[in-house]
Amino acid sequence: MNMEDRLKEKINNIIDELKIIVGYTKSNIPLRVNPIFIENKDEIKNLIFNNLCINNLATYAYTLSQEIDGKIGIILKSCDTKSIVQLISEELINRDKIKLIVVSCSGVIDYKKVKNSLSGAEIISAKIDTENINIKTIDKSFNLKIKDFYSDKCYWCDIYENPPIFDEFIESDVKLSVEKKLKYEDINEFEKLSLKEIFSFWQEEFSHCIRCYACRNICPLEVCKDRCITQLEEPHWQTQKITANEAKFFQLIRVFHLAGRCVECGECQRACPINIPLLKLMKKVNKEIERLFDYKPGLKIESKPPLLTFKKIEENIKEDKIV
Amino acid sequence: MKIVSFIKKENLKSWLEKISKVSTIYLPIHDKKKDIIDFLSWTDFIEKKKASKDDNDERYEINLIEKTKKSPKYIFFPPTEKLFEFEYKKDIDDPELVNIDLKTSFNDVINIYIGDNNKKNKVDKKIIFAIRPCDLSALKKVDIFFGEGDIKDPYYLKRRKNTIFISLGCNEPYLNCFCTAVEGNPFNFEYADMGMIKIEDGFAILKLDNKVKFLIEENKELFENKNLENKYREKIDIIMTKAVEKIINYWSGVTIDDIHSNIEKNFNLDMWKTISKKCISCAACTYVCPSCYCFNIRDEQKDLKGERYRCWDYCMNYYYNLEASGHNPRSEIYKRYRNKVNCKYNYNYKRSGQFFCVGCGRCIDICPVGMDIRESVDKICRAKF
Repeated sequence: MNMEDRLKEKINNIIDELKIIVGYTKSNIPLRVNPIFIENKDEIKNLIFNNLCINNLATYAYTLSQEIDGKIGIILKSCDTKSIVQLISEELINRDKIKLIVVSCSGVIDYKKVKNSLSGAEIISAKIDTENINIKTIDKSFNLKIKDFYSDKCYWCDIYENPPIFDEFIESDVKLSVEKKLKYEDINEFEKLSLKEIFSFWQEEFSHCIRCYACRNICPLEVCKDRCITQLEEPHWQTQKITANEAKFFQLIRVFHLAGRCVECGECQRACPINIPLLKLMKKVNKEIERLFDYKPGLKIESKPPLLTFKKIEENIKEDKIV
Repeated sequence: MKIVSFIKKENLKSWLEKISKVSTIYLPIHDKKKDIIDFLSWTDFIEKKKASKDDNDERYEINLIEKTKKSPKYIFFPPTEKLFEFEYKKDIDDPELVNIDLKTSFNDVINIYIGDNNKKNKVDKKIIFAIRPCDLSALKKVDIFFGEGDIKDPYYLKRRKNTIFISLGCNEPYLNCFCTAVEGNPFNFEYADMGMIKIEDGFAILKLDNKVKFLIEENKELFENKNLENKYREKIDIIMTKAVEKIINYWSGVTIDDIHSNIEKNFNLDMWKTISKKCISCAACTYVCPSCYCFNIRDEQKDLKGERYRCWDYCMNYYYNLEASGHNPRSEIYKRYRNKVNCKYNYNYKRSGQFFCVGCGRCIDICPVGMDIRESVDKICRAKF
């Protein structure tokens, strides 16, 4: 039995104790998958799981736990469990309310990368197996290797076989085999640029921003969507103007809101309609948090995010000028 | 449609260059580094090209084949627009009296739209080049909102005035396109001043209004006019039928009347909740939509000075519906999504007899969670109440 069938069987066994199950289903668009909400047994056949399941379904954990009275099942990749750990450790969701069906992941495909490799040709249909992606465009067909198109986050993933939290665990048929990159390798590289270059890089990126808030709304940890200070009417903290500076300002608020909380699932970057590399900002802040507080988000339920608590004396912050 | 004229591929650039001297021309430009295609003015394009000369490959290029990321509506209806500035001034003699000083170009704006064309108020000609027929018909719908009815919007109409549309037929519609399902056609040149179609080695002009004839007549050497019908007619016919065949008919068996009446009839259906469950209520679909027109107006003031501006707003926004009392009639996502679908397929249909969706498919392309408006409408239409 392959992994997908094992997953379906497992869901079939546990569905009676759950009100709703969030999973993946196929999409009308090639190389994409959609979230699906399963409430009864005959919908289980629509479930899928493969290397295209890039979405982080933990996005729905908070809203569903608020709306639904009863237990919620969520199908997650190992890396997505970090978001749930973070949500539980911040007491945003109740551990007893959710059942985590974790699938050990063999890497996910970044469809934007695939699209870019075809230099603009539209993908008419796509089929994937464990190693290959077969793509048809209008006049050509391509046979691509999955290993060339892993999402960036897969190169830093170290928990694809041992999720920090789970109720049911389903092992994948194939093991993830990527050349691991050094932690924060990309950020260290980016930091070598001069301040002026970094500034003009972001200025240029945010000049395209349309302030659609897809980055904010897709984030599993941003449970404040409808009470966001950038949109509050009273008090009116930030203007609604859609300009590069305002977009940057909003993004910086968001980045600080997620400092030491972000589990780098990359959903914001994926959701961005104009491909702003938002994960760079997130990683930079996380890097600093790790340096200052020796804290990695999303690994332990018991630990508190450093910015949600305080110590009288922080070991790595010298406050001699103040004291 | 008769083939009026023909321009070779290699002549296109010099033609564009020439007409860019008489008027501002907007055309779809591909930013290869960011992989974004959007309408840019010719001067911006040249400037950006110069600035990016250090990059090895050509970063900016004209791209007439692919769909633009954003719709061209932002040329006429910018994301943010200052309406006027104001300043409170205290009367020195009478401290209780406060005057407001308005700094505005409003009178100019008004004069232009009532047609007072003295020299000072002359609006430059704008040419929108290679606009898709779906985007153009969407602009006509935005026109209805801003320009018809009792209250007209001078700011929009000022930008919209003196615009020439050169439309380029859609030879290869995308998988997510569904213009034929909403009364459109990939070669609908009804609203265009000039209609072109791409054939292998150039562009055939199928529609030419009298008022834009000068664009061709002034550059006669770049165009061919002889023996066009024999040479290209067959090819054009093949392209046209192929394109229409490629568009998937998603709503087979559902008529236009069914759509708006069923959506209205099924307003209270529980299905709205299930179809919108995955929606994260962001603005991506609204802000790329060519026919969405909602905006918000605000005063922002620092000390005694301030300005009034308007900027895009979106109906999936929680605050869009929030009332002053604190009550929110559309506090849940499904209510907002239901309103959105109704706005596109029902309310505006009742108002103007047209769907406010042109089937460009941008909202489907862009949605991070795979909401598909075709699917939603299909499900609602086929549901039994």
